[in-house]
Amino acid sequence: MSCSIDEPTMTVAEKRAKARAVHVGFCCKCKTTKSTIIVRYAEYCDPCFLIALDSKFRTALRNARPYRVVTPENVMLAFSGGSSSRSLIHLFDVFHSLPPEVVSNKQQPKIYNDIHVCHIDESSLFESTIQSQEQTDSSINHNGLPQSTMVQAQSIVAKYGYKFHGVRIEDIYDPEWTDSRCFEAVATLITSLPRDQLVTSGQAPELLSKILPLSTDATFNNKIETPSPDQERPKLSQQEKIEKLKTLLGVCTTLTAREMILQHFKSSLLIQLAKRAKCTILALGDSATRVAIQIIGLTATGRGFSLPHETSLLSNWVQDCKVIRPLKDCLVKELDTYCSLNSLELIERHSANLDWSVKTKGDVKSIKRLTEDFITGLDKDFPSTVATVCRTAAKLTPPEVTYENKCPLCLGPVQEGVQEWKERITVTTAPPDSSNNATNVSDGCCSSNGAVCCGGGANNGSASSCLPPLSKDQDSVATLPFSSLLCYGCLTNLRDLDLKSMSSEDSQEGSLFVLPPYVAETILDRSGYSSLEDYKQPTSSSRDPRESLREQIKDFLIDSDDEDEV
Amino acid sequence: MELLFDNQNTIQAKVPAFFPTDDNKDEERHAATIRDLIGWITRSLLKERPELFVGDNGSVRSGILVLVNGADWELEGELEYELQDRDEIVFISTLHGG
Repeated sequence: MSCSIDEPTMTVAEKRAKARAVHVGFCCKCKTTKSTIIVRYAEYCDPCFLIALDSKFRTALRNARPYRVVTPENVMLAFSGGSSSRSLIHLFDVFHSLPPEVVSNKQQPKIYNDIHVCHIDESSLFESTIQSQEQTDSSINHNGLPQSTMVQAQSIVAKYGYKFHGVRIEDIYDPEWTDSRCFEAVATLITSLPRDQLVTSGQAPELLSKILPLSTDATFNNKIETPSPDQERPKLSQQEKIEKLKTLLGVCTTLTAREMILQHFKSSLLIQLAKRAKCTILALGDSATRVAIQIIGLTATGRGFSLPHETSLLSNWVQDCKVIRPLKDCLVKELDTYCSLNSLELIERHSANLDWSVKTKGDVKSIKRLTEDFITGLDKDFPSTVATVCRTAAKLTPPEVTYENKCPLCLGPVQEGVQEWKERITVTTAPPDSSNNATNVSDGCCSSNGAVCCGGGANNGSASSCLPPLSKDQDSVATLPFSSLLCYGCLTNLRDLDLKSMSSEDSQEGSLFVLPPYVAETILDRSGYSSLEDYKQPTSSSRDPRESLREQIKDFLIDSDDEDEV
Repeated sequence: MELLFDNQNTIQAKVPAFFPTDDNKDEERHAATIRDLIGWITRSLLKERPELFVGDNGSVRSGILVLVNGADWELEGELEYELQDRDEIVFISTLHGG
């Protein structure tokens, strides 16, 4: 009788463990061999484990893309060098190579046409992680750069005979890696508040953006010394791109912000790589453990809106490119065991450690790393943690947002009215006193000593109606909105940027915030410009409506100012 | 993981067969277990950032797989497994990978 009372309190896993206890020490599949691997209470021997993992992979792949499709598609496998993506390549290979007796059978339809593998080399971000050590380290080659992971990745892929595409992380600044493939401009961020006001007013400043030609500083330097031979299309050198990327990451004050931005760059590159190779499927090696960490971590960083796209088995968010995660049901432990059983070679050092120059006491933690510790720690004592988190989040359905409305930074979906909502829930200090405002306004919009804060000011409630004043001297390029285009997650993330190093609207100095071309392209696209040339010609159609709009806003500002004085 | 051990992939090491028990009396000693091995590795082989290898109560950090002669250490008694001659212990880090 006591059994019947006890039983309901047992978890499924415990029940399973009890059922298997009969064969304790032996594989739960074949029950004849001594077990060597234990995964969530289930014990396996080596051969049975491999079969189980392979069938798990096949099931996931079938769920992501039904076998009965008629036209075979190209698939791009994202390979970082770690155990998960390494297993992904191997499992794909096992899946794709037919046993000899089937090869002759012509009726068997091809499910995947071409398999491509891509790799993003992050080695340019390595060196400063353990700089002191690497001074003496032999792994540095002549250029002073740490060993590239590209060669290793290529040699691994070559064994499978798949087409290899490699790209360096700093190539994100290459105009080639945008939708139009030749978008030669970058976006710089500027604040709507002058520098001296940043500290005093607790207001989060409106971020604006300017699209500048990519080669400004490069040609400026070159012209003095030697005129560069290819003026038509000046290319940034590898070193310049690395510098740009490092500067951008350097002004992030937290590790979380840094990791997020790098992650966005990587996913943008991956999508571009897949599209370039005419692959309609991008397969990522995210394991169950990784997905669970992502779910908790992304929620914590305010990315809940795009969560379904970033964690689901199959995501249709990106146009013309499905993103699948066939390893979503496999624990990272299983994949590590898989790699070591098949003696698959890994790239030991493949992901950049970004905790350089963040000066805090003790261990530097980001939300991602804390979540990682949390999940792996919990999973040690409660082996169902990962699966439970994943299963819960799998019920989420993606939001219905069109792809055109994507966030310029993360290319994810943007929820409507983010800024308004944020303003409502955020406690900010009182707006700058009205006398200060009054002088500015009487000067007109573009006063020389301080720009009017259009977005965050008290007399303008809605941020979306804000039109930034045209700056007179900066090559007469119009400023475009930036923060109003962002999704909530990116907006929150960018709060960690070091605003003091950002140039404000009126200052002459160049901004340190140089975002890659793909961001600039998206900003232009969403601001309603059809092409870069369209944007560069301020005298034509684009200027006049802006001028008139500015007039309108000026009237509005003076009106409200009058009311204040009365 | 290799980075923590001076970029060495495999290390053949002679580990003391016996470790003194906790109260540091020289006469009392027990056969070397994984727990002792982890402590010994930390003291003599680890080159940098011990917090990435050692976790709570003398175990490895969560997220590191331990294989004893190719078998999961959970099957071998985890920390209390007594090392045998010519045992192969593999540590695999599952963190920051993928």
